[in-house]
Amino acid sequence: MLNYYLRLALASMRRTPVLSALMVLALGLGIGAFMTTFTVYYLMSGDPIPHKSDVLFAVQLDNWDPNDDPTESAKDVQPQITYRDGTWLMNAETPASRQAHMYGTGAVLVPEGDEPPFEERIRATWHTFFEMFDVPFLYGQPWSRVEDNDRASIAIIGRELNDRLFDGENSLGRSIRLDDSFFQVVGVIDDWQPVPRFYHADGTSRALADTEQIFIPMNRAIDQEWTPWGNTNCWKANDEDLPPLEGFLQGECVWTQFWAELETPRQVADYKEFLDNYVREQKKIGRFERPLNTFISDVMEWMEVNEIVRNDNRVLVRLSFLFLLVCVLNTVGLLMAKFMGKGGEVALRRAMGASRRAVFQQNLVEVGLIGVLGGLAGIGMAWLGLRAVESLYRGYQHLVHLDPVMLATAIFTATVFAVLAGMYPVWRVSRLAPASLLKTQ
Amino acid sequence: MKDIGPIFRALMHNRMGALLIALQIALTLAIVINSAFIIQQRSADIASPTGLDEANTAIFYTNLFEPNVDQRQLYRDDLEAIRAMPGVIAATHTNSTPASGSGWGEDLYTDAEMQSNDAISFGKFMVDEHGLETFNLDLVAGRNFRPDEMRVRDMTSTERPKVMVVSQALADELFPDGDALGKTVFDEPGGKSPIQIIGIYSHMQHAWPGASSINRSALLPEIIMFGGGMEYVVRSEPGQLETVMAQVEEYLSKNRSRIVDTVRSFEESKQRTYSGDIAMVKLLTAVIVVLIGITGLGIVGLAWFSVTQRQKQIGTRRALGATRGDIVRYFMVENGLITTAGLVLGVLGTVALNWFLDTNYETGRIPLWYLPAGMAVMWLLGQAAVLIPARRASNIPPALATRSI
Amino acid sequence: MLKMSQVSKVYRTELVETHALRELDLHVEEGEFIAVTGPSGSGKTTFLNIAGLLEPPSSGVYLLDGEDVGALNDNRRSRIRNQKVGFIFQSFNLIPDLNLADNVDVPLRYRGWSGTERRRATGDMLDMVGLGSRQNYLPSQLSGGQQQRVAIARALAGKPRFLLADEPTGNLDSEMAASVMKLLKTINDEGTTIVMVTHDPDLARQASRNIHILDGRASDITVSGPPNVTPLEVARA
Repeated sequence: MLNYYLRLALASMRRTPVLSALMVLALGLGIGAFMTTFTVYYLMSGDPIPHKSDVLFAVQLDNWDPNDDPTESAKDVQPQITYRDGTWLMNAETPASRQAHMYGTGAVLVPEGDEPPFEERIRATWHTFFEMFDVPFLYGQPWSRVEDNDRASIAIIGRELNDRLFDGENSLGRSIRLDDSFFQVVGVIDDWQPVPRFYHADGTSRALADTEQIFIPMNRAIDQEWTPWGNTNCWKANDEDLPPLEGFLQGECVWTQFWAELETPRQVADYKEFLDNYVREQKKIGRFERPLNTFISDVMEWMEVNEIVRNDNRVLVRLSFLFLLVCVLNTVGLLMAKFMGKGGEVALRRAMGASRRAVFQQNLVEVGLIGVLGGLAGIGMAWLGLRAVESLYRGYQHLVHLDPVMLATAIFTATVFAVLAGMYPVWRVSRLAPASLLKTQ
Repeated sequence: MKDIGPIFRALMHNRMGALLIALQIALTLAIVINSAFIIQQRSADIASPTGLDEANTAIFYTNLFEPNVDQRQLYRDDLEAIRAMPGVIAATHTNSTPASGSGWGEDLYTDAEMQSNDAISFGKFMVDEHGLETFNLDLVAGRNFRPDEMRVRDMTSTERPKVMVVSQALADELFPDGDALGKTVFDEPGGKSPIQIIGIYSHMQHAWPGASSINRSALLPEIIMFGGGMEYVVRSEPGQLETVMAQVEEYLSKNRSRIVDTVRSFEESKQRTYSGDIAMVKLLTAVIVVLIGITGLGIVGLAWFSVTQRQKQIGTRRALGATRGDIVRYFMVENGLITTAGLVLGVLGTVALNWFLDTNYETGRIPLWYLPAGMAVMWLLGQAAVLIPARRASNIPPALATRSI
Repeated sequence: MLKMSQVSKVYRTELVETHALRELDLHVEEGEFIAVTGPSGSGKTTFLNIAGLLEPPSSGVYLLDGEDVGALNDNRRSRIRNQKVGFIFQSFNLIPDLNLADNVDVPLRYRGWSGTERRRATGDMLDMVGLGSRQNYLPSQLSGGQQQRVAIARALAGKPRFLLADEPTGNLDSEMAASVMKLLKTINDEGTTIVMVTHDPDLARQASRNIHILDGRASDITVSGPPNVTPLEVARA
């Protein structure tokens, strides 16, 4: 019967081509608009590292101005920590499985041949970064604690840079020149782009920017005097008796990020306790003058704290949903027009023995078909919409693809809405008394 | 007008179609008004003047990577060369530009006892004595810096400038009594790092749009050399920006110990910073246009269908003496009733949506006059849309009434 | 009162030219009850449309109360139709969404009468056809006979010059048909001119004069009628 109904549905649509086209178009527009904004929202708020998002925790320590209002919310505390606190934690025995201290910086890369120098962003971090964040390697492997301690002049580069500098070959052992120093390549990582780039939260809005192509041991970056390229926030001047760089490293300015891997709830509790104790000890020497306020947030919590998803995104999702509703109402009207005009055919079928239920089912199949077609049209429009979004927003190139979940959502939503829209007209038509319809008007 | 009675009663027997249109109109009104408001707000932000000669200013960012270059001398040489180029009005080094999203924000204290949470935030621009002219600022009081007031900060020295030129907004915030000129403020609490206000210019935005402190900016005679980044701002004669940009880029590129990372007009830089707002404006405009189109077509479609359903009735009315105009008027009144009902619902919807958006996403409250304006537009749209089916109805011949099939 | 001379009506489509009426002559005096008969396809409906000013004739003269109404524009035709013709249709043609009172007052609205005048006329007419107590009913709640009565009330409400009835009993059973015919006769006795189009010879006999239309031409058939009817004109064959 389904096949039969589908054939009937197609024939019926062909008979009223303009009306059917309008219906599919109206539904498609609504679905397309909604899927565009929803895809961006979904990808932006999606879990960037699903298999580990509940064991990776960002650390916040509230070393801020005691004159500021007290707070209990992680959103009011600086997302970064000081260099001295991070360094201490990296060198201490902690309950965490692993920790990673890091900051973002950059330098000028001077290639070997004729190619002119260019700027590259650098992630200065510790060896633990790669295992913690599951970074895939093409060649080589992460450096070890030894290189961190030795402040070695080594680098791990990304596939894109490797392609550009070394034609994609195994470049282990080769050197790259950054500013005036040389760094030996010890590893090449594969394409890696967590969306959003949750690990970097430094107060700038670069959550959607490309991941860095160069990783350097943090100690070596400091020796190179590479200043942070993200936000640097200070509430207090650095110690003026110290040379400027030393004063900066020892001061209360926050410009580094800190992550810990905590695999069990017990570990989480222990680590929190550990941090609190550290702060208490520091209070004794006059630091951390605010009330005790350490926060550890897992990846999803961290994205909330940093408000990765902007209000604008949410507003657009809401408005486009309402837009979809208008399109659905439109479709209801068009369906009404279509089905009311079919009274004669319905009467004929009923006269020939079709039950009310059969008529209902046949029409529902037709409505469902319109829904599926509307969903497909919607996918097409969403694709166009996402291209438009990509051109409007810098850095959204990772948020504008339709993955299988989104595609299925589009078709499912369209069909559900079409069926809902068609409920009333289909129901009305199936109840019309056949006799009254067989007589011509 | 007195015909409304039977038209209304007839409508009640055909609620579904009327309800569909009324709901569409209501939703459309709510979406259109709220979107228009957001568009207006963002457009105002984007258009707000930074204070600069935006069409004739460009930004250059370079990165010095060779270690053995005298960076201070390079700054001097660069600026001397640039200033000598034809078409250049003024040039300066800087650490930041207005509406760029990147800069230096600090707090100022008016006395030694002031607490840090009372300090006044502002955007700091470290320039030389040509900064005022490069940024196209006019002094309303006091004077510009002298070359000898310049201070250098790098990894070895931490001299601070003793003087600054501030915006009127910053001056008023620091000294509401209006006597900021000549006063000394402090960069740190406890009376440390005194700086004297030697000049006031009327207006310049700092680097971060959206901050409430946006008009609080100041120029300081300072140059920072932490690392190889060197930024210049150049103002050209009107219409000459492109040639000047090409010239400066060529000159800067000649020096092999540095790379020219960015060459960008100020307008482009501002656009990049506002790209989110610009995108919002474009997207919402598209929404409004398409939505009005859909709703208009929906009205045309449903009314057309209704006319077809009522052909016999219309023919009968004509037979009974209605003129073509009477028939058109009938449909206009009927549609007017539906539209009005939809608009009344729509007002509630608009206010509700606005409340929801503002409470959750801080989009702002719409001014009251938006409501009647939006309603008038929608009303006109609705009536214009129904004209087509109404005209079709009026063409139904009276002879239809006597047809038995 | 009503005089058609050499009236013709031609319908032209891309393929076909149909002569619905050919040089038809017809004359109706005030107070007459005329039945217009003829087989289907004879032009009865066209005659009805032209008589009721629903369509203009292609050629010939149509005088109503001495005025040449054949050559008027659509708006003027509508006005005269509104004031001078009372229609009664075979399928009643009541507006289903309106109650009886609203249905009866449709032609009065196009007259521009005031609310009071309309209400009075509507009430009187519905009383006259025996449905005064059901002013708020919808047509779907009435029998066929009752609906036709409402249509008659509607036709009479504005005091037209003549009633134009198209198979008024065609959709009614014999009992209802008889009562409607009785009503029409009463109305005619009170002085209203009635032109009734029908194919039913029994009905035609109830009128005072018959006109037979065949292939677009009219011929008179004398039936018993009131003695003061003027001699008929014989149509050209």
